[in-house]
Amino acid sequence: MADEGMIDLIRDRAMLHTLYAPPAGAFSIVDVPRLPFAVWDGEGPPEQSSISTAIRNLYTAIYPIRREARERMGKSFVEPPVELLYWADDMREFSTGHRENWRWRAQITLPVWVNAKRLEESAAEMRQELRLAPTLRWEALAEGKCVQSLHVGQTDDLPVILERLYSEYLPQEGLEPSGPYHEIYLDDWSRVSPIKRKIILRQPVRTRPT
Amino acid sequence: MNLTDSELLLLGLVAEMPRHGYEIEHVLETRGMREWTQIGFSSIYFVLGKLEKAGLVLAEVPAGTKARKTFSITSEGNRVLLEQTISSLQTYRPTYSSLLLGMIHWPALSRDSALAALDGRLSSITAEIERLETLRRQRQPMPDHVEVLFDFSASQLAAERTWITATLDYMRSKPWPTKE
Repeated sequence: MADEGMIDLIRDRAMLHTLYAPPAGAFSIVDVPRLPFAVWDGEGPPEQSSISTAIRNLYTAIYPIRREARERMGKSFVEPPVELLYWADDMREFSTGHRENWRWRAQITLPVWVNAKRLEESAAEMRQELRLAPTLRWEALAEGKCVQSLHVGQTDDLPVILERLYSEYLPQEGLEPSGPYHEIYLDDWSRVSPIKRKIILRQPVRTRPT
Repeated sequence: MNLTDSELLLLGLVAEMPRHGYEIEHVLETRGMREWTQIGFSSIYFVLGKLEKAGLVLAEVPAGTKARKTFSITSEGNRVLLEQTISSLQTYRPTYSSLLLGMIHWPALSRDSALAALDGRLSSITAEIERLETLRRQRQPMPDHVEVLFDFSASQLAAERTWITATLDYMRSKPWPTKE
């Protein structure tokens, strides 16, 4: 039932660590393999209220899967974090932090044994608890070569880091963005103080043509 | 220092991050914490006041005309929180079920009303198991440590249900003493 060539992060702890525990405060290069996700497409600009609803719905829709995962994997089960992808039709809108022109989607990585059909069944089982009709889909995403960094602290500091990434680091390394900008939230914001929140910033890249 | 359940609960919420009173109310509501503690909206400030007097939380009014008081934990508060949390986890505190008193007076009832009452308890336990399951589904996402807390309650209820079923079966097959 598992998709061939999909990495099982539960078995490959080293890969899990590389992807979800990068060094803090510095840019590092990582090769992100193909991973399965439950995806919720965002509508309108990325506002806190619509993002919160999407995240709640995503976690609700995958709840039966998560329960099955806890039973199947026992002690090796790891709580998956929520991730957001952002992009703009004009990528220059990006480093300026004009979020009103950004587009977004929320996603949570799934165990390798979950396919589109299982995700659909899971969401159907939670129909009554979902606030919206699910705009939910299963997708395998392969980001490939990425630059990433772990940020600990307030989100107010992010624009400065992104400015550094897009205007300094990437040009210096001869790289350019090749896909949506990606943030991974390692904490539940309703339980963790803003100054302690851990966020992974990730940007897929390719070599800039000379 | 021994904190009441409400005091320990609020201390823990303020330890996560500095919070306003109304924010604490919101968290109590969304996490369903009123399931285990009787703490009304009006008593939140009263309990916080007691914690403040004991030097466990700090109440600050930030600059600004309409600013609300923010409560944050002190280092002494943190010390007490850790101490009390460890003792809550490691020390068993017996809680007495109404079932014990009911069972003691079993012979006071007629056979039919005793069996019917226990059968009624079976229905109410089953309803509670379902209610918790519903809550669990509605309260996603739940971190793992909360998920296992629900496992704990569910397994306690399941154990009671097993006991009721076995006891009903046993009592139904026994002859009933005739009253003199």
